[in-house]
Amino acid sequence: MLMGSTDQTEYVRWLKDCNKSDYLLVGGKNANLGEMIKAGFPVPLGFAVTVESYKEVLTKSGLAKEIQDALFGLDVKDTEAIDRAGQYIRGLIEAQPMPTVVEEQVRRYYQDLCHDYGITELPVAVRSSGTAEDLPGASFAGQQDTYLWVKGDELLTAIIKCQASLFTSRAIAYRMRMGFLHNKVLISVGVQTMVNAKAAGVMFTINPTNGDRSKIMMGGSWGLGESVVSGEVTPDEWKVDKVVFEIIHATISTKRVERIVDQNSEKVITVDVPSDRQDTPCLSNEEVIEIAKLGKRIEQHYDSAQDIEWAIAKDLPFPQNIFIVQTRPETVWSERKVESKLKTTGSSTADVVEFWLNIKA
Amino acid sequence: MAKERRFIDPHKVKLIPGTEGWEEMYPYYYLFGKGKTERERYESGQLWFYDGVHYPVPMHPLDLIWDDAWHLTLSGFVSKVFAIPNSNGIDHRILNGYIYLSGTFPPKEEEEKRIPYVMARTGHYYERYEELYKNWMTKMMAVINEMKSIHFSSSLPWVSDDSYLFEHKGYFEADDILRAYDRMIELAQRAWQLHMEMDGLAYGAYVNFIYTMRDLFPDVTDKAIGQMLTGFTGEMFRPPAELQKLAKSARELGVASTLLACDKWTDMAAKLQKGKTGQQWLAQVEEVREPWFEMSIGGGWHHMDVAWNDNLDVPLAHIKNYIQRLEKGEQIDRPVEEVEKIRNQVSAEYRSLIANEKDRQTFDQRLELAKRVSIFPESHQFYVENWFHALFYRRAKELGQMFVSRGVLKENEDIFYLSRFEIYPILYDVLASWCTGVPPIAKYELPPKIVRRKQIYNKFKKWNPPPALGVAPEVVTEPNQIVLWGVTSEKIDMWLKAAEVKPGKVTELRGFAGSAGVTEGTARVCMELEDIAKLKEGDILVARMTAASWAPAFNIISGCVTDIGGTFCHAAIVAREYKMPAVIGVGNGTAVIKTGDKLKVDGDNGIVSILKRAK
Repeated sequence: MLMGSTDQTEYVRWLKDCNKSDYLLVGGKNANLGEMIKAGFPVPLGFAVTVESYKEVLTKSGLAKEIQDALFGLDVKDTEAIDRAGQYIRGLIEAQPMPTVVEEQVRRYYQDLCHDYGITELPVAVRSSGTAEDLPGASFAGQQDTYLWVKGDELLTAIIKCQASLFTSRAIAYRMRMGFLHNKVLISVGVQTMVNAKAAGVMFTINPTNGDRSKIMMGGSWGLGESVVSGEVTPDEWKVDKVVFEIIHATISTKRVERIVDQNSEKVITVDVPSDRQDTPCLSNEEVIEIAKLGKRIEQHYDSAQDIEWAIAKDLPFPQNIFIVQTRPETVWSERKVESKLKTTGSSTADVVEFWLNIKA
Repeated sequence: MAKERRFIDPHKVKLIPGTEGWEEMYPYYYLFGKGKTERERYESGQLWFYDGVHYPVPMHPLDLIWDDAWHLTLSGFVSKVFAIPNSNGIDHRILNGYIYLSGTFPPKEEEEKRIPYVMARTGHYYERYEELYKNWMTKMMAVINEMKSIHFSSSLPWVSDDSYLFEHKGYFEADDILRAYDRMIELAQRAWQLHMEMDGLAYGAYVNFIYTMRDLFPDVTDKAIGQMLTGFTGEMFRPPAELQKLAKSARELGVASTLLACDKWTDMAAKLQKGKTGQQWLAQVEEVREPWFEMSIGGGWHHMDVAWNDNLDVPLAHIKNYIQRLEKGEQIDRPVEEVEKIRNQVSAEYRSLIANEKDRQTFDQRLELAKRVSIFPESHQFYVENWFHALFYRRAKELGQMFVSRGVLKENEDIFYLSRFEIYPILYDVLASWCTGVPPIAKYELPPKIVRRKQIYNKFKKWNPPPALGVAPEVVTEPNQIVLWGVTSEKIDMWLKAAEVKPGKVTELRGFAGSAGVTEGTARVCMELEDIAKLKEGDILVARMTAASWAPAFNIISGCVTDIGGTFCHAAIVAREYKMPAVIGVGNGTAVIKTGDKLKVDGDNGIVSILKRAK
């Protein structure tokens, strides 16, 4: 609990103090980040703006009813109507100032974070963290918004926008299809120190194409991670053996664009990758293996296959430059019952003869 | 319908100018036909692939004895002894001195008939594999010991030895010598019978496990699977282990600097003899030389691949390399316990990643069987291809020396230009002439023949054997060629593609990523061992394949490219040890790349790029 806080309600909480079981308060993503920080993984530090803050927005302003009305009777097939409702609701939420009790705490936590890094206006990444996302069986991945390189007073706006992103058209439609009630789904926001990434990407601790659990599949590209997730570039890809940590296959693609922070405007912009770097692997083999090793440890920690986002910081030496930005359970293969892949007669010696008889190449 | 995949017809390969009549060097049944009969139709319809795995250079006629031995024994154990239903083994041919192989099959209706036999017979062997391996060792050692007891004296006495007369033997030297020669050939055949007794079953279980791993974990590397099977307890690991021990004791005894200063074993031994510690070290060598220095400097398949005992400069080079690495603080050996720990760890980890319970049981059973039989793959080569072959080469040279003494050969090694079938009549000629006092007829006929054969052989060496001849089947099903030579549809397509492009136009070659890293440098194509003397610091070695005797080259080069081989071949192992990039098994690197070309070797992805052609 923060010193001097007069309010009993917890609007903000350090990520390192978040647990797996806190997902109803801080959302799945933030709960996970807390879990990882505790387990010693290199996760950028930060804090969660809890669902209490969002509730505060709803109750204090009496918005809840207006939102419910706007969503009433929507047809999942009528995308235009959904778009209109979503836009209207987001407008309502974004028009509200942040409740003072929340703002006070957010400012205080942000200042502490800046202080820890010795930077007056520390750039942070602001991401939504839903209470229904990232659970096995319900992949809300990428349903809500992300704001990168946010500094100072922009933080408040970014948080509000993230809260409002609970009502993007696709989020509304997704909830309708999955049968989640709009008013039961709350949103928390994560505020994390921004990794000024030289390269970033994703990895699965399972081969997502065939369910092979002995592989790690990694994709990465130059710059901040958004270009990989958004599909703006064809990323470099690596297939790594999870047991012996050998790179089995590397596909180096031509990476034409990257997201970087503009020196002057301090905004995230998309630029062309200089031609001499387009076909260069965005990771060294050493980095690939190190990231894969982290992936395996994270999987072991959660005891299930993971879908992980990572970033390589520009200004830090290897291996301190590797950061895990987020992890969530892999949802496709972990749900599936694994069928037998081997034919057997029951006798290993008769199997050899069978094998000999059926070999083809 | 898949497109027919056709290579050059074996009958249409052009004669190399100046090699007219080469066929007489090899048995008639090794030649492709010249007519238009059933025989040629069979030959044209088969896929023949060049066996560069065993034979990187053309065959000397006498060295063909090994290939011919397993021509019969591999096929026999497959089709007749164990009655494997879908294979009759491998047919052999020779073309311009290079061995070509082709899988053969029984008629379809015979497959069914063989099944009860194969089940009973393989089952019988697998059940008592450990016991049978012990018996195998006894049988193999008997063959080796008998071979050791055979000797040919370098000259024939002017009068028969007393023993024949006073012991009333009723015969004289000629009878013993003819019998010794026959016995030497018989023992070679027996050694290769024994080789195949256990070989097929061991590889069957081994490869079944490898495929099991690939079914469970697609793209799992051979290296990873290798870690699960290798115990490093077989005799093939002993010779290098003994050299490592000698390197350590050289340092302990303070003689390491003397070793490092010498390239010749004889120089070094002379210096060490002068001091007590030096003598001590040499005594240690004497203790282990028999049998651990009976290791071949190459693969053992050619008489040039003599044993360390025959060319001590090679083990000296290895020991020096170990000493240098010890001085850098590197660990040169791995304790068996550590290897076993890693092996068990890796196995347990893959096992834990098998999601299906039934598969996990099957995995356990197959791994257990593969581990039980692994003693044979890790040991037999030392006894057969190394020790026994080395003994055979020595005996052949002794006989060659006798021929030299009778004026029928110029040098003892010329005997390798004669086939095993040609030697018997010459020996008879020599023995008869010894008695009659009339010069042997071979004295007039043989020397020009040997000169001619040497000319032909040198022309063969410069020829690049195409990777395949004839017609490829739609799918490859003969198991031996798949598991032992890696002949797969994918490989066949690679060969075809390579054959379409003119060598001068190729800019990129693909092979296995043998050893990680990327480097650029100047190519030097080395077709034989002597060529490595021309290597300059930082060159990239381009070779058909390398063997242990090539080890000194790896101190100089910055990267390595080979035509033949896989993850476990010599070049890949040494390159990984020296931490230099290597691309292995590119197929036609020595044909496409010319000395002086600028190369980029990408050992991470198995790609060789020709950046700039030599002028």
